[in-house]
Amino acid sequence: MSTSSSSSKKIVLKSADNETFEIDEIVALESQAIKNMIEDECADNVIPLGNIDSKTLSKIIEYCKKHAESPKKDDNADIDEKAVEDLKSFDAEFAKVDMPLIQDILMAANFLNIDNLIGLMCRTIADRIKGKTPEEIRKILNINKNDLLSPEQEAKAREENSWAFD
Amino acid sequence: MEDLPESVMFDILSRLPVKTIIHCKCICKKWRNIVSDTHFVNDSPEKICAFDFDDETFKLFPSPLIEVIEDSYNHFQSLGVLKGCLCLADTFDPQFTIWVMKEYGIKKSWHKEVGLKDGTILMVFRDVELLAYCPTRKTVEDTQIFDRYLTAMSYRPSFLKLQNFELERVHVF
Repeated sequence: MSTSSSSSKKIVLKSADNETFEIDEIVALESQAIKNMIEDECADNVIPLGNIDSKTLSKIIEYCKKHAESPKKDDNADIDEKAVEDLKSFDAEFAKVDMPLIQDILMAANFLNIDNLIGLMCRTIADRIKGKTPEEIRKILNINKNDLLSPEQEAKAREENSWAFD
Repeated sequence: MEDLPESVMFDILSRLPVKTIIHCKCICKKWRNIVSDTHFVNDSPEKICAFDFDDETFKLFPSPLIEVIEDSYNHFQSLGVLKGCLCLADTFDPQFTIWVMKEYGIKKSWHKEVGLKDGTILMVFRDVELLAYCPTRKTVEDTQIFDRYLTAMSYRPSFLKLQNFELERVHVF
Protein backbone atom coordinates (compact mmCIF):
# COMPACT_ATOMS: atom_id res chain seq x y z
CA MET A 1 0.00 0.00 0.00
CA SER A 2 1.64 3.17 -1.22
CA THR A 3 0.19 5.46 1.42
CA SER A 4 1.53 3.46 4.34
CA SER A 5 4.38 5.02 6.21
CA SER A 6 6.46 3.91 9.12
CA SER A 7 4.72 6.48 11.29
CA SER A 8 1.19 5.06 10.84
CA LYS A 9 -0.13 2.94 13.64
CA LYS A 10 0.24 -0.80 13.24
CA ILE A 11 -1.97 -3.63 14.39
CA VAL A 12 -0.81 -7.22 14.63
CA LEU A 13 -3.24 -10.05 13.94
CA LYS A 14 -2.44 -13.62 14.89
CA SER A 15 -4.06 -16.53 13.04
CA ALA A 16 -5.15 -19.87 14.50
CA ASP A 17 -1.96 -21.46 13.21
CA ASN A 18 0.10 -18.78 15.02
CA GLU A 19 1.15 -16.76 12.02
CA THR A 20 1.30 -13.02 12.67
CA PHE A 21 0.31 -10.28 10.24
CA GLU A 22 1.31 -6.68 10.83
CA ILE A 23 -1.08 -4.29 9.14
CA ASP A 24 -1.85 -0.59 9.21
CA GLU A 25 -4.57 0.35 11.66
CA ILE A 26 -6.59 1.89 8.83
CA VAL A 27 -6.74 -1.55 7.17
CA ALA A 28 -7.81 -3.25 10.39
CA LEU A 29 -10.60 -0.68 10.82
CA GLU A 30 -12.42 -2.24 7.84
CA SER A 31 -13.47 -4.83 10.41
CA GLN A 32 -16.20 -3.42 12.61
CA ALA A 33 -15.30 -5.95 15.32
CA ILE A 34 -11.65 -4.85 15.44
CA LYS A 35 -12.72 -1.22 15.21
CA ASN A 36 -14.87 -1.70 18.31
CA MET A 37 -12.00 -3.38 20.13
CA ILE A 38 -9.65 -0.52 19.29
CA GLU A 39 -12.20 2.11 20.28
CA ASP A 40 -12.87 0.33 23.56
CA GLU A 41 -9.13 0.11 24.06
CA CYS A 42 -9.24 -3.61 24.50
CA ALA A 43 -6.94 -4.32 21.61
CA ASP A 44 -3.48 -5.21 22.88
CA ASN A 45 -0.45 -5.23 20.65
CA VAL A 46 -1.52 -8.53 19.17
CA ILE A 47 -5.09 -9.52 18.38
CA PRO A 48 -5.45 -13.31 18.43
CA LEU A 49 -7.95 -14.73 15.94
CA GLY A 50 -8.18 -18.32 17.12
CA ASN A 51 -10.80 -19.39 14.61
CA ILE A 52 -9.22 -18.02 11.41
CA ASP A 53 -6.36 -19.82 9.69
CA SER A 54 -3.50 -17.96 7.99
CA LYS A 55 -4.67 -18.74 4.45
CA THR A 56 -8.09 -17.20 5.12
CA LEU A 57 -6.66 -14.33 7.12
CA SER A 58 -4.22 -13.31 4.39
CA LYS A 59 -7.10 -13.22 1.88
CA ILE A 60 -9.11 -11.06 4.25
CA ILE A 61 -6.21 -8.68 4.74
CA GLU A 62 -5.77 -8.45 0.97
CA TYR A 63 -9.43 -7.46 0.71
CA CYS A 64 -9.30 -4.93 3.56
CA LYS A 65 -6.14 -3.30 2.20
CA LYS A 66 -7.72 -2.75 -1.18
CA HIS A 67 -10.93 -1.42 0.27
CA ALA A 68 -9.18 0.78 2.84
CA GLU A 69 -7.14 2.52 0.16
CA SER A 70 -10.12 3.03 -2.16
CA PRO A 71 -12.09 6.22 -1.71
CA LYS A 72 -15.31 5.63 0.20
CA LYS A 73 -18.58 6.33 -1.53
CA ASP A 74 -19.90 8.73 1.07
CA ASP A 75 -16.65 10.67 1.40
CA ASN A 76 -17.11 12.52 -1.77
CA ALA A 77 -20.07 12.80 -4.08
CA ASP A 78 -18.20 13.00 -7.38
CA ILE A 79 -16.12 9.94 -6.93
CA ASP A 80 -13.75 8.80 -9.56
CA GLU A 81 -15.64 6.39 -11.84
CA LYS A 82 -12.40 4.60 -12.53
CA ALA A 83 -11.83 3.88 -8.83
CA VAL A 84 -15.30 2.36 -8.56
CA GLU A 85 -14.70 0.17 -11.59
CA ASP A 86 -11.30 -0.79 -10.28
CA LEU A 87 -12.79 -1.91 -6.97
CA LYS A 88 -15.50 -3.86 -8.77
CA SER A 89 -13.00 -5.79 -10.85
CA PHE A 90 -10.87 -6.38 -7.77
CA ASP A 91 -13.92 -7.88 -6.01
CA ALA A 92 -14.69 -10.06 -9.02
CA GLU A 93 -11.12 -11.38 -9.12
CA PHE A 94 -11.05 -11.80 -5.35
CA ALA A 95 -14.10 -14.06 -5.42
CA LYS A 96 -12.56 -16.44 -7.95
CA VAL A 97 -11.54 -19.02 -5.37
CA ASP A 98 -12.84 -22.47 -4.50
CA MET A 99 -15.95 -22.99 -2.42
CA PRO A 100 -14.26 -24.18 0.80
CA LEU A 101 -12.18 -21.00 0.90
CA ILE A 102 -15.24 -18.86 0.12
CA GLN A 103 -17.01 -20.42 3.06
CA ASP A 104 -13.99 -19.89 5.33
CA ILE A 105 -13.75 -16.25 4.24
CA LEU A 106 -17.49 -15.80 4.81
CA MET A 107 -17.32 -17.28 8.31
CA ALA A 108 -14.32 -15.11 9.17
CA ALA A 109 -15.87 -11.97 7.64
CA ASN A 110 -18.98 -12.64 9.67
CA PHE A 111 -16.89 -13.00 12.83
CA LEU A 112 -14.88 -9.86 12.09
CA ASN A 113 -18.01 -8.04 10.94
CA ILE A 114 -16.83 -6.81 7.54
CA ASP A 115 -20.12 -5.97 5.85
CA ASN A 116 -18.94 -5.54 2.26
CA LEU A 117 -17.03 -8.79 2.35
CA ILE A 118 -19.99 -10.72 3.79
CA GLY A 119 -22.10 -9.31 0.95
CA LEU A 120 -19.50 -10.21 -1.68
CA MET A 121 -19.19 -13.80 -0.44
CA CYS A 122 -22.96 -14.29 -0.13
CA ARG A 123 -23.40 -12.93 -3.65
CA THR A 124 -20.70 -15.28 -4.93
CA ILE A 125 -22.33 -18.31 -3.33
CA ALA A 126 -25.76 -17.26 -4.58
CA ASP A 127 -24.38 -16.82 -8.12
CA ARG A 128 -22.88 -20.29 -8.06
CA ILE A 129 -26.04 -22.09 -6.93
CA LYS A 130 -28.53 -19.93 -8.84
CA GLY A 131 -30.71 -22.06 -11.12
CA LYS A 132 -29.09 -25.33 -10.02
CA THR A 133 -30.86 -28.54 -9.01
CA PRO A 134 -30.78 -29.74 -5.39
CA GLU A 135 -28.21 -32.42 -6.36
CA GLU A 136 -25.94 -29.82 -7.92
CA ILE A 137 -26.31 -27.43 -4.99
CA ARG A 138 -25.43 -30.21 -2.55
CA LYS A 139 -22.26 -30.89 -4.50
CA ILE A 140 -21.30 -27.22 -4.85
CA LEU A 141 -21.80 -26.51 -1.15
CA ASN A 142 -20.32 -29.85 -0.09
CA ILE A 143 -23.23 -30.55 2.24
CA ASN A 144 -22.47 -32.76 5.22
CA LYS A 145 -23.81 -36.29 4.58
CA ASN A 146 -25.12 -36.49 8.15
CA ASP A 147 -27.49 -33.63 7.55
CA LEU A 148 -29.23 -35.03 4.45
CA LEU A 149 -33.00 -35.45 4.39
CA SER A 150 -34.44 -38.94 4.38
CA PRO A 151 -35.90 -39.99 0.99
CA GLU A 152 -39.40 -39.47 2.42
CA GLN A 153 -38.58 -36.00 3.72
CA GLU A 154 -37.06 -35.02 0.40
CA ALA A 155 -40.04 -36.36 -1.52
CA LYS A 156 -42.32 -34.30 0.72
CA ALA A 157 -40.28 -31.14 0.25
CA ARG A 158 -40.40 -31.63 -3.52
CA GLU A 159 -44.10 -32.34 -3.53
CA GLU A 160 -44.90 -29.15 -1.61
CA ASN A 161 -43.52 -27.05 -4.43
CA SER A 162 -43.67 -29.43 -7.36
CA TRP A 163 -43.90 -26.54 -9.86
CA ALA A 164 -40.28 -25.69 -9.10
CA PHE A 165 -39.12 -29.07 -10.36
CA ASP A 166 -40.55 -28.97 -13.89
CA MET B 1 -21.76 -25.04 4.98
CA GLU B 2 -23.53 -26.33 8.08
CA ASP B 3 -21.61 -23.91 10.28
CA LEU B 4 -22.81 -20.77 8.57
CA PRO B 5 -24.91 -18.63 10.88
CA GLU B 6 -28.56 -18.19 9.97
CA SER B 7 -28.18 -14.50 9.20
CA VAL B 8 -25.66 -15.34 6.50
CA MET B 9 -27.87 -18.09 5.09
CA PHE B 10 -30.75 -15.62 4.87
CA ASP B 11 -28.46 -13.22 3.07
CA ILE B 12 -27.63 -15.89 0.46
CA LEU B 13 -31.28 -16.94 0.08
CA SER B 14 -32.42 -13.35 -0.39
CA ARG B 15 -30.23 -13.14 -3.49
CA LEU B 16 -31.69 -16.23 -5.14
CA PRO B 17 -34.56 -16.66 -7.57
CA VAL B 18 -37.58 -18.29 -5.98
CA LYS B 19 -37.06 -21.57 -7.81
CA THR B 20 -33.57 -22.00 -6.43
CA ILE B 21 -34.83 -21.14 -2.93
CA ILE B 22 -37.28 -24.04 -3.26
CA HIS B 23 -34.44 -26.26 -4.44
CA CYS B 24 -32.43 -25.27 -1.35
CA LYS B 25 -35.26 -26.68 0.72
CA CYS B 26 -34.35 -30.14 -0.53
CA ILE B 27 -30.59 -30.11 -0.05
CA CYS B 28 -30.33 -30.87 3.67
CA LYS B 29 -32.07 -30.45 7.01
CA LYS B 30 -30.51 -27.14 7.92
CA TRP B 31 -31.46 -25.45 4.65
CA ARG B 32 -34.92 -27.01 4.72
CA ASN B 33 -35.52 -25.63 8.19
CA ILE B 34 -34.34 -22.17 7.22
CA VAL B 35 -36.50 -22.03 4.09
CA SER B 36 -39.51 -23.50 5.89
CA ASP B 37 -38.94 -21.14 8.79
CA THR B 38 -42.19 -19.32 9.21
CA HIS B 39 -40.37 -16.03 9.48
CA PHE B 40 -38.93 -16.53 6.05
CA VAL B 41 -42.12 -16.72 4.05
CA ASN B 42 -45.39 -17.24 5.89
CA ASP B 43 -45.30 -15.16 9.02
CA SER B 44 -43.33 -12.30 7.65
CA PRO B 45 -44.96 -8.93 8.25
CA GLU B 46 -44.03 -8.09 4.68
CA LYS B 47 -46.80 -9.30 2.41
CA ILE B 48 -45.60 -7.61 -0.76
CA CYS B 49 -43.04 -9.30 -2.91
CA ALA B 50 -40.86 -7.19 -5.19
CA PHE B 51 -39.10 -8.49 -8.25
CA ASP B 52 -35.78 -6.91 -9.09
CA PHE B 53 -35.33 -6.82 -12.86
CA ASP B 54 -31.59 -6.26 -12.60
CA ASP B 55 -30.65 -9.38 -10.69
CA GLU B 56 -33.90 -11.28 -11.25
CA THR B 57 -34.54 -12.01 -7.62
CA PHE B 58 -37.58 -11.67 -5.42
CA LYS B 59 -37.39 -9.60 -2.30
CA LEU B 60 -39.89 -8.89 0.45
CA PHE B 61 -41.03 -5.32 0.31
CA PRO B 62 -42.09 -3.15 3.27
CA SER B 63 -45.85 -3.45 3.78
CA PRO B 64 -48.26 -1.53 5.98
CA LEU B 65 -49.24 -3.13 9.27
CA ILE B 66 -52.68 -4.47 8.52
CA GLU B 67 -54.91 -5.24 11.47
CA VAL B 68 -56.57 -8.47 10.47
CA ILE B 69 -60.27 -8.66 11.23
CA GLU B 70 -60.62 -12.25 12.34
CA ASP B 71 -64.35 -12.72 11.75
CA SER B 72 -64.27 -11.27 8.26
CA TYR B 73 -65.00 -13.98 5.73
CA ASN B 74 -63.16 -12.20 2.96
CA HIS B 75 -59.86 -10.42 2.87
CA PHE B 76 -58.54 -9.09 -0.42
CA GLN B 77 -55.54 -6.96 -1.11
CA SER B 78 -54.54 -5.35 -4.35
CA LEU B 79 -51.73 -3.08 -5.35
CA GLY B 80 -52.00 -0.02 -7.48
CA VAL B 81 -50.65 3.45 -8.10
CA LEU B 82 -52.34 6.41 -6.51
CA LYS B 83 -51.16 9.98 -7.06
CA GLY B 84 -47.86 8.58 -8.24
CA CYS B 85 -47.37 6.50 -5.09
CA LEU B 86 -47.63 2.78 -4.51
CA CYS B 87 -50.96 2.01 -2.90
CA LEU B 88 -52.53 -1.02 -1.34
CA ALA B 89 -56.27 -1.54 -1.23
CA ASP B 90 -57.23 -3.68 1.70
CA THR B 91 -60.71 -5.15 1.81
CA PHE B 92 -62.39 -6.90 4.72
CA ASP B 93 -66.14 -7.54 4.86
CA PRO B 94 -66.89 -4.62 7.19
CA GLN B 95 -64.24 -2.16 6.04
CA PHE B 96 -62.15 -0.95 3.17
CA THR B 97 -58.84 0.84 3.47
CA ILE B 98 -56.48 2.36 0.96
CA TRP B 99 -52.91 2.64 2.11
CA VAL B 100 -50.47 4.89 0.28
CA MET B 101 -46.71 4.66 0.45
CA LYS B 102 -45.65 8.29 0.44
CA GLU B 103 -41.98 7.53 0.00
CA TYR B 104 -41.27 4.51 -2.10
CA GLY B 105 -39.52 1.76 -0.16
CA ILE B 106 -39.85 3.46 3.24
CA LYS B 107 -42.00 1.37 5.55
CA LYS B 108 -42.79 4.26 7.87
CA SER B 109 -44.26 6.25 5.03
CA TRP B 110 -47.30 3.95 4.65
CA HIS B 111 -50.26 6.11 5.42
CA LYS B 112 -54.00 5.45 5.57
CA GLU B 113 -55.42 7.47 2.72
CA VAL B 114 -59.01 6.29 2.88
CA GLY B 115 -60.81 4.25 5.48
CA LEU B 116 -64.43 3.28 4.88
CA LYS B 117 -66.73 1.52 7.32
CA ASP B 118 -70.46 1.37 8.07
CA GLY B 119 -71.55 0.31 4.63
CA THR B 120 -70.10 3.21 2.66
CA ILE B 121 -69.98 2.20 -0.97
CA LEU B 122 -67.28 3.22 -3.38
CA MET B 123 -68.31 3.84 -6.94
CA VAL B 124 -66.30 4.56 -10.03
CA PHE B 125 -68.01 7.26 -12.03
CA ARG B 126 -67.27 7.60 -15.76
CA ASP B 127 -63.83 6.08 -15.22
CA VAL B 128 -62.56 9.36 -13.85
CA GLU B 129 -63.99 9.83 -10.39
CA LEU B 130 -64.14 7.65 -7.33
CA LEU B 131 -67.28 8.47 -5.35
CA ALA B 132 -68.12 7.41 -1.84
CA TYR B 133 -71.80 6.88 -1.10
CA CYS B 134 -72.85 6.81 2.53
CA PRO B 135 -76.23 5.02 2.88
CA THR B 136 -76.91 6.26 6.41
CA ARG B 137 -76.44 9.92 5.55
CA LYS B 138 -77.49 9.42 1.93
CA THR B 139 -74.64 11.54 0.67
CA VAL B 140 -72.23 11.16 -2.18
CA GLU B 141 -68.74 12.54 -1.92
CA ASP B 142 -65.97 12.71 -4.44
CA THR B 143 -62.94 11.12 -2.81
CA GLN B 144 -60.69 12.95 -5.28
CA ILE B 145 -58.20 10.16 -5.28
CA PHE B 146 -58.90 8.33 -8.45
CA ASP B 147 -56.05 7.30 -10.61
CA ARG B 148 -55.66 4.32 -12.84
CA TYR B 149 -55.11 1.11 -10.99
CA LEU B 150 -52.63 -1.58 -11.83
CA THR B 151 -53.26 -5.22 -11.26
CA ALA B 152 -50.62 -7.70 -10.22
CA MET B 153 -50.05 -10.82 -12.24
CA SER B 154 -48.18 -13.95 -11.43
CA TYR B 155 -44.58 -14.30 -12.46
CA ARG B 156 -43.59 -17.61 -13.92
CA PRO B 157 -39.94 -18.39 -13.20
CA SER B 158 -37.95 -19.10 -16.30
CA PHE B 159 -34.37 -19.70 -17.22
CA LEU B 160 -34.64 -17.15 -19.99
CA LYS B 161 -33.13 -13.86 -19.01
CA LEU B 162 -35.50 -10.94 -19.15
CA GLN B 163 -32.87 -8.85 -20.85
CA ASN B 164 -33.09 -11.27 -23.79
CA PHE B 165 -36.58 -10.02 -24.46
CA GLU B 166 -35.68 -7.11 -26.65
CA LEU B 167 -38.14 -6.38 -29.39
CA GLU B 168 -35.96 -7.55 -32.22
CA ARG B 169 -35.41 -10.88 -30.53
CA VAL B 170 -39.04 -11.77 -30.10
CA HIS B 171 -40.10 -14.45 -32.56
CA VAL B 172 -43.56 -15.85 -32.96
CA PHE B 173 -43.46 -19.63 -32.88
